[in-house]
Amino acid sequence: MYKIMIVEDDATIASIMEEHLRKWGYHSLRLSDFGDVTSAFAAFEPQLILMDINLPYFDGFYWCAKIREISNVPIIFISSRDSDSDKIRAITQGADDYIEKPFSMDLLTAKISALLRRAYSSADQGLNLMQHRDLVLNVERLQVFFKEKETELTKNECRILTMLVKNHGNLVTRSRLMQALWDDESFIDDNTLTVNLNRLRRKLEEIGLEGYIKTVKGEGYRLI
Amino acid sequence: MSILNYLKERWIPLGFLFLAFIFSFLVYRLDGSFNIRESNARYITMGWGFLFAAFVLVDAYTLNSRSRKFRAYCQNNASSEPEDEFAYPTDRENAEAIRRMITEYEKYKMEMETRSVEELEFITKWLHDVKVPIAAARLILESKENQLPADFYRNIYSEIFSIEESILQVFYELKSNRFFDDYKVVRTNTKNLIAQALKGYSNFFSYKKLKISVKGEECEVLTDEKWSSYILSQIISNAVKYTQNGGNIEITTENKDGTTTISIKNTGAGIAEQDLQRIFQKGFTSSTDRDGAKATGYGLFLSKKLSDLLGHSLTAESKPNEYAVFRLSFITRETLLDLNE
Repeated sequence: MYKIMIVEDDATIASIMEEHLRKWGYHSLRLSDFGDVTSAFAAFEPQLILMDINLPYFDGFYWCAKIREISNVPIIFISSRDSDSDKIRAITQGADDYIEKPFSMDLLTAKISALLRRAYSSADQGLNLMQHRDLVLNVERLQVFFKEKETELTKNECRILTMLVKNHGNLVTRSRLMQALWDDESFIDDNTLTVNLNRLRRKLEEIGLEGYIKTVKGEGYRLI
Repeated sequence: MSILNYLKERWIPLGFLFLAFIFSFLVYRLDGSFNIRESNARYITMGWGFLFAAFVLVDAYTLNSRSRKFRAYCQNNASSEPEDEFAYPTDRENAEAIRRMITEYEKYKMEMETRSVEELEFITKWLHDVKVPIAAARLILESKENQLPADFYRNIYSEIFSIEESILQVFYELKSNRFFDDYKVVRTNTKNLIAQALKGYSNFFSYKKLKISVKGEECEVLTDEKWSSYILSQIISNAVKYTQNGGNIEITTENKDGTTTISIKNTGAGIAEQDLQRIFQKGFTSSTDRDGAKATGYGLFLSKKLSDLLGHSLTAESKPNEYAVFRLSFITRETLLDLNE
């Protein structure tokens, strides 16, 4: 299980992030003392850090530089500052990515898993794989496996299935699916989403997963 | 100083001198017993004429150099030079008065500048501060999406989104007044700009079941990415607002004669002909659409202002009850950048 350290002084945002990351299978630590981020880092040894810029005592740039002296751990800045100069400063201090507030959790988790994949993939190939009951999804190769059968998906279909698998048991609204696809710069509309979903269903049926995606009328979809 | 100006300036002394001469001449002519030799009279007249000419020259010269010095004093902002240098009491007094005025003015200007810098700092800080609770509100809402009734979620989401839009507007308005501090023209492609602008609007496309098509070629343009994608997002925001449910939004990129144009066309009521000229004006809201009363009339004004600053052109065209289309054009010019490559 990957460990993620959350350096964010706004309690509401930090707790939502913690809650959300836990749901997605990450072990996260929320800092409450911002006086010594480096020792907290050394004690917890996270694989990734989420860093705010405006913090008490020292700012995020400072801690980022401090941590860079001892570690190459991926760092994502999350801040309400949106000028180019702040972003450039973050990157030059050693940040790997920069997300502007307000942001969506789906985007954050997508960035986290991409960064983790890039940083640790040689050690752990399993990261590209997702599983829900007997279905296995290879996100990298766009393939679905069920028992002995397999099928190939398009990028959009894979993104939709990923969202459904990650939120399995819960309803995923159409607008949420669309947002996830738009985040990937695939600008589809409501009709196209329906077409994609029907095609995905047919492909799943072909490998024996009939009725796998349940429609909640007028709202969205849910994996059974 | 021209001759005419000199005469205007000195007409009283010159006039009196002339009158004095006439007076002496009349006394000489009218008094029969006044006896003076003709050569002497001629001598006096010549002498008088000579002295008069000398007076005019010296006077004009002094006046000219005085006023030149005074002008120089004013141009140098007075405060840095001592007015003791003025030999004439009136000049000294005027110089003192001007120095007092300029000092006052400088003080006032400094105060205003400090105040505006402080206000700007405050507003910028406030903008960043207010984004944090808004981000939190949005995250709370998103994390509870499954537990909330769909229309409740939608309504609150839309409200939060419009708060975010308004905040961005403040941000860009502030920046547009300090445009030259903060812009960076780079070569970028139109697909990237459109993607930046569209992101965030997905939910509205979903809620209103709008159809979207992004067509045309990908073109390279020289622009500031953030500013142009903001302009595009303002247009998209408008388009989303004014397209009927199930309507169509079409984004087309084309390159013609070195000019790249991104057109955003939406179906719907369109813009009335009498309004078309005025939509880019500050504070203008539609005359036919009463919903327009809710709009600030600022979005398109700001877009136009930004696109003018960037040297792009932003135009609108509409066929009422059918469609409205906004075009942002990037004119490709031969630049130093081209020569380098």
